[in-house]
Amino acid sequence: MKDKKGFTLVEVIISIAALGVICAVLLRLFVVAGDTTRRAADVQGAQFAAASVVETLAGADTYADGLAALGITGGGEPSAAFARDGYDMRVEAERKGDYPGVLYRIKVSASKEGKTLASIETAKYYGGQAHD
Amino acid sequence: MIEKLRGEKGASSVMVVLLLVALLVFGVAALTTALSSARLGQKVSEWNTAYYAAEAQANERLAEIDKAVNEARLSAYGFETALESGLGSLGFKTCVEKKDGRLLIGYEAKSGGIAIDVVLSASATDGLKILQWKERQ
Repeated sequence: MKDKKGFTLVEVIISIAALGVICAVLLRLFVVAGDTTRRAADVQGAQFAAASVVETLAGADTYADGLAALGITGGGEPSAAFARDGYDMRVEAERKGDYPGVLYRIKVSASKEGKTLASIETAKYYGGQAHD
Repeated sequence: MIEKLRGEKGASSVMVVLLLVALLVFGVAALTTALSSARLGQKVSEWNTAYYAAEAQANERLAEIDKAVNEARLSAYGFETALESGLGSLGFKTCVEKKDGRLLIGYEAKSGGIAIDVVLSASATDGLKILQWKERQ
């Protein structure tokens, strides 16, 4: 009974607590990495979604055709909101100046859970005399 | 000495330390990858903003030139004279050259390290034609 081999209960509790603290710190690294990866993927996805909407609008012959290509019909409204690739997309357009064609300033933003992740502003000159 | 090495005392401690080191290595690797991904996202965002700002500028200038060409076609002073005068009054620099009875008009739109070079051909009969719309960094 007087054999001193082994650990006391206090030693075991202290070593388990120390291990727990170290493991918690290390596992926190994985949680932070996961959150960062998800946020980065969201931002990149939103950028691609916004760019694809801008390209669809810019590739059309008229702004209304561009909206129709995005599945938005029956309005001719300069602004539109719709869902795409899991993001809430918003298109705002404003006609500028007085030209032979039509110049639109276009702003496309992509948001998720109320947070804007990507916003692209550009302009497109539709019609006019210029052709490829 | 050999007897000591053959003993199994401390083996569990070694296992625990190895496990913690492995956790640390994988955790740091995961975090590094995530941060690289976030940096890439930021760069994509900056590039998109700059590219579409340059594109906006190029389109706005195209509209201005189209208007000048349209006015020159209706001018009593002759197409080339009126167009050269109209281009001179624009708020940006253009490069004009005569070739085969047409006027070649070049301009640059620039934003955040991205430039778009545009070359147009203008004539009284055919109006305006886009010959080049090229992006460079």
